[in-house]
Amino acid sequence: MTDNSLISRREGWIAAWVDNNLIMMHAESSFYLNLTGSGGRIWELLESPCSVWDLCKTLGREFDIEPDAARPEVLAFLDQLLLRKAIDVHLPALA
Amino acid sequence: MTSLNNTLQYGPYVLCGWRVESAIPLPELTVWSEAREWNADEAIRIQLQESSLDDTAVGFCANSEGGVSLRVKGVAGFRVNPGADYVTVRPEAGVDPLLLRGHLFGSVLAILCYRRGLFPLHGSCVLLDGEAVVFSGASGAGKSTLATALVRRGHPLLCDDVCAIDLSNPMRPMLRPAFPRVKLLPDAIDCFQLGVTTTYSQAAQGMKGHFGMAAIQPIEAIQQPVPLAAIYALDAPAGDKMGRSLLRGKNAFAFLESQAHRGWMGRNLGLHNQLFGHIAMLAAAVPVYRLDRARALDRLDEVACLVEATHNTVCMPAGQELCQETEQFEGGCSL
Repeated sequence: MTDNSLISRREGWIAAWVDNNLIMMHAESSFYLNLTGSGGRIWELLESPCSVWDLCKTLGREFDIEPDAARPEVLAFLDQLLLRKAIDVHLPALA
Repeated sequence: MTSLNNTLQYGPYVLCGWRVESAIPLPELTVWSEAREWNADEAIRIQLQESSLDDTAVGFCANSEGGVSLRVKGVAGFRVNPGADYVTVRPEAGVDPLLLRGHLFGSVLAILCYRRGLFPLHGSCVLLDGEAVVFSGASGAGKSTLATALVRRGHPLLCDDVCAIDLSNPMRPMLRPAFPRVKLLPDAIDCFQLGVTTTYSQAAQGMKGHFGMAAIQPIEAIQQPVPLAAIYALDAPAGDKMGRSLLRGKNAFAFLESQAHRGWMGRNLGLHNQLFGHIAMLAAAVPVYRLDRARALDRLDEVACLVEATHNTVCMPAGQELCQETEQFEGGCSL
């Protein structure tokens, strides 16, 4: 996954806020995920597909940190979502 | 040979706000006040079909038209039509009527709730200071026993086993009362000295299936929906520890998910999204407490005191977690 990778939600997930956690369920498998803190916000931002770098910039603005500083955690978090089949990662087209 | 008994000679009764007419007597239910207005979509009719059940498989089946059939071996076959306004009961020969009604007020009521957009929580519920408080947990955790202890302290019983929760206003979940009878094992009935007001199942004492349905409340049953104030998660009592703790976020969600009454039926009905949404709304709007309590029945009043005190000082979940993580937790469908 790189800064230019395009991230999109996979279909079949539903989500709801409970306290400050975003609880997600895959409807067919009844597989649950619990996203805390900015994890839930990232899922919200993925309502429309966007690049890793755009995510870092938006989170940087909202949480008052540099996008570069946000990148490692954002990438690690997206890796977890990918592992659990919650997102698709589209590689950037070659120039 | 099949004969359908459409003579709805019993009732009308009230059950979870619905107007129920029935071909079989339902003595646990309270009578619908004739002065009370009702809409056609609030009506449920329970009809009797006398026929062989040989053609019906044991278990639960949702058909392609949206109807549901459930056959409990040795008891009856039940069918709920797609609109969830007709229930057809096909009893097995010689079935214990109380046992039959136990399934009608358990699994069949849960199906009606799912189909009619309510959330059926497994638990017992009492009215505390004008609000509903549910005790929920696995069978044998002591839900009905604790509810009975509170009823004996003057708090009306709203329902036992299936707690029908209306989440049409997500900020204000409402409990729809069922009927004020409680299903107890004989030792609890003896402990509370409720034998006189109890109808017993036909299974011999000491055998599986022997239970009593106790009328524990001398006052008139409450029929109107009541705001839901709190849910208490009960484990089987152990040790001497007494106390409560608030379950937050995923822990509250996971508990409620585990206690959806026959949740697997709701999912088999294709209602995953409804079920998920209801559980999330409930976990967000109503505090869920874990209740630790002593095993001894003679300390039941202490537990009841703790609940009363807690209810008067209910606090909503609070706190912020800013760390970022994903976490998978146990849940899901067992078919």
